[in-house]
Amino acid sequence: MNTAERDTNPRIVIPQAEPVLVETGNVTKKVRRRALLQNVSFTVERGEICGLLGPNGAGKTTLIRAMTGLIRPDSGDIRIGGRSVVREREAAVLHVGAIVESPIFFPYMTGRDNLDNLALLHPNLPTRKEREQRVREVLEIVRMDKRADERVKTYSLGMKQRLGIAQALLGDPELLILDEPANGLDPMGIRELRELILRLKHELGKTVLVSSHLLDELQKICDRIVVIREGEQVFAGSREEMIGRHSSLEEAFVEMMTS
Amino acid sequence: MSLLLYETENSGGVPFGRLLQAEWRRLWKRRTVRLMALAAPLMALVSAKYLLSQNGMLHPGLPEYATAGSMPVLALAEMLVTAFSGMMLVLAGLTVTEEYRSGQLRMGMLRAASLTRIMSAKWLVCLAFMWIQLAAYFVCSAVVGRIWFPNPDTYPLFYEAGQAAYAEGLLYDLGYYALAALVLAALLAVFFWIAAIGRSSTVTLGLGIGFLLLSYLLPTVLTYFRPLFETQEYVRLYFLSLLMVEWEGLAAMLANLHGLRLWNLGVIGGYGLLFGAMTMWVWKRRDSFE
Repeated sequence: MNTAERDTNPRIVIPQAEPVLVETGNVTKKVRRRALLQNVSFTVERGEICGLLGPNGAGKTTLIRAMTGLIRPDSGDIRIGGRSVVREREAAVLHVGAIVESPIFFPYMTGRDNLDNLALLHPNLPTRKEREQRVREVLEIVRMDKRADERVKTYSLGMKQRLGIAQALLGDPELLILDEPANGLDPMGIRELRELILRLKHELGKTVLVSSHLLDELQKICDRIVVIREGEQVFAGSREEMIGRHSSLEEAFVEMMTS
Repeated sequence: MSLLLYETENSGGVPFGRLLQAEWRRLWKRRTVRLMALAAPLMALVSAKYLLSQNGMLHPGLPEYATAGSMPVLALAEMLVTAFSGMMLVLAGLTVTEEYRSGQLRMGMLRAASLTRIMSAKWLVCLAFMWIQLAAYFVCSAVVGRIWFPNPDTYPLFYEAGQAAYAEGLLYDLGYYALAALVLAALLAVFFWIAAIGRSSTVTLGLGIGFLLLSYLLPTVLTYFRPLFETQEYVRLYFLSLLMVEWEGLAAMLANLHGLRLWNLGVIGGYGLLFGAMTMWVWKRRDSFE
């Protein structure tokens, strides 16, 4: 579904004029008095690829869960497309496609059946014809159309990641959130994933927030970087600002973590 | 339900009907469920074999003596507590515990559907499956009854509710199955609560069996204290157990023995509301704190 078609649907209104798509303001989440997130505030503009960096346990997945409405922050707000995830969760996450933690599917179904089933849960795909068409489109985007009719339990991890991105694209979201999408992939898989993410940005105009430990990969694709450590945001800015006087993103990151 | 639909229309979320459709389709993709769907004819044959052997030891004038007309009721009394409860436990384990604990439910939640609405859809879909099974079992046992069992002019109903000819008996059977359908709805609410708190499908299965055993044990213990109670008090306490309502209470309701019709309906409704509310409470908390 293109933007013009979506704008004719009275139930889904996405303000297009604002350059900022994601806005997190002082997001704090505590569990048993321990702060998992502490005053995290950053913005992501439309069309950007934003890298979310941090060591294990820094709070990246917690932040992603809060951004997708799976958990509620104790304070602060997250706005996506002008809608608050905290107060208008269902309306806000309509703009979002995501893989959280790892792509999990129903293993007893084929890839296509999984997507068909999940497409039923998209309000902006009301008819069977539209759903089938959209499933075909996303399978082609991630180049899974030839293996789509095999059971998911026979897929490699790389195929599952691509199917995960396909399911995230089903509702034609403005924002894609990918949590550690390169985990467990071989070098070829990582390269294919990078190319896919760049294609999503350049050809489909998607905004992408991606968390990863692979700093080289993030350096190659990200426009903006957010770094968190022990739940606190230690950097938010452009890739160039982060690299600064260092020779690479990795060097800048290591210094940030050890200082 | 109307509240759920209202919420959907106003929040831009997914329509509830589509949640139902997604759950229904997914349920039928499971091999275990498809095998369970074939169980009705098999269960009717097993019950028939057992009831025929029982008939050899019973006087034809007793309500327990199986005839073409009473076969559907007697066959269900055999299977309701065991096979039907077992199937519902498996459904709850597969659709609730397994999907929640494996993270599969997250896929739905990421699509603007709240956990409470997803669970409501699951309950309705599992109940629809069980009701279809119940209807299939009625048809199979009526057919088997007509073929294999004697068909006297009249036969006695349970608890001296009178004599019935075959056609009247089928109406009685339908009433019995309708009450059984209500009990299944309440028991499914219990099992959904167990599935919500169960850490794995195996734990859910174990807790569910534990609930059924407790529901058998408490009324059995109560029988030792029978002299302490008036008859009315005793039967009401006895039928506080959902398992006993399933086992003996449905025929007692149809005969309105000791005014049990209203009492047992209250018990069934009470279980449904209590465990439905407890399940909602569990999911409501997890909506925010998963």
